[in-house]
Amino acid sequence: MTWRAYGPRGPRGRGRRLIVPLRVAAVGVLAAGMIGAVSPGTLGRTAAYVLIGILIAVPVLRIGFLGARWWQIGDRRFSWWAFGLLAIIAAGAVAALGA
Amino acid sequence: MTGVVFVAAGLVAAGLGTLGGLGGAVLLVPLLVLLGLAPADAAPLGLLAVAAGSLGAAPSQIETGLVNHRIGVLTEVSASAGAVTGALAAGFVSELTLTVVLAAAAFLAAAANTLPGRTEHVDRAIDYTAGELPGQLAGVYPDRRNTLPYVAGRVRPALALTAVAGLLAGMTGSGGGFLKTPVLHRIMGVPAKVAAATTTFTVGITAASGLVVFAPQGRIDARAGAQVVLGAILGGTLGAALQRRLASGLVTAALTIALVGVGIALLVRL
Repeated sequence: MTWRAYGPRGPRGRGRRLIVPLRVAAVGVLAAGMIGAVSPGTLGRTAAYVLIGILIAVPVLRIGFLGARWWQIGDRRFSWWAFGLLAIIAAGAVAALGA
Repeated sequence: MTGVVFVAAGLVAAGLGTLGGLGGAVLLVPLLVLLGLAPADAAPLGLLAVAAGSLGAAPSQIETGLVNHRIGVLTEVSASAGAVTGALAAGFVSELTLTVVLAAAAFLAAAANTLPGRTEHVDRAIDYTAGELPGQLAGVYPDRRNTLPYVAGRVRPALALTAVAGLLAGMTGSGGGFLKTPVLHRIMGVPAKVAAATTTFTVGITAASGLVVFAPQGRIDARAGAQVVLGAILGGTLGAALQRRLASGLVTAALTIALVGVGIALLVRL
């Protein structure tokens, strides 16, 4: 395979727009983890469910963002791969409900 | 099993895993099984720890331009298909089979841990900002004071192997990173730093793929999950802090011995 250059400085992708939302989610997981681990009763259970929800949702949303972003810049091939990955995850959830 | 045990297990596994660069779940899940948890109950907890570790590392890895999302998404298609299959299958296979598969995963991880480092071909440094390139499985990564280009190849064998990694992850609750990183680095030719960072991205997706199967089936103990995740976050932080102070050879040896020991203990327990 050859490496196709784009000239100095770009274009290159980093997904920088993901950084702040990911940091917020990480703080949320830490907070929910602490509350879920030590708090008794409903509060602790709710925090634990929130933690699980964040850990499932964040990767899915990240792929969705990447797919949409790649579509926007015309990188259709990888955009379809991202949407295909989302379809696989969705199929897993549906299969689990049916099993 | 008390909450303290779950926190301690998460801390020890993540700490050792971070020290050794192997990820913690491949040690965490066997440890929980040895402490008396059924493999089918331990697997979701392992995936939660993997997902938390992936999320924690993500912002800094994106900032340094090490993650190649395109390579990650492409390989993750097969890995997630494997993870979903493994998670669904885990509900139907016996505890004996799951324990044997878990022991095999621990041995595989120990073997992968002993592979010697590969000398990378260093291309001419280029004046680019580090990151991935649109439309291709390639990018530029930071290496000391230079930025260097790389191209990933041999996609088909890599997809087959990442499917196996995903299957193991779904069945055992490990992240599969111990297989994925060598696949990206040695099969696809991705530089080690990029392979490790991209794998950290993909194991989070693999974990989510398994968890979307476990959650609707009510197979996740939420409270235990929160305790394990808390321990894993603390352990990962501690491991990262200690990593700079300890000799890497010593850490690799200790982690390899721990993984082999855990694998043997699982088989003896049968």
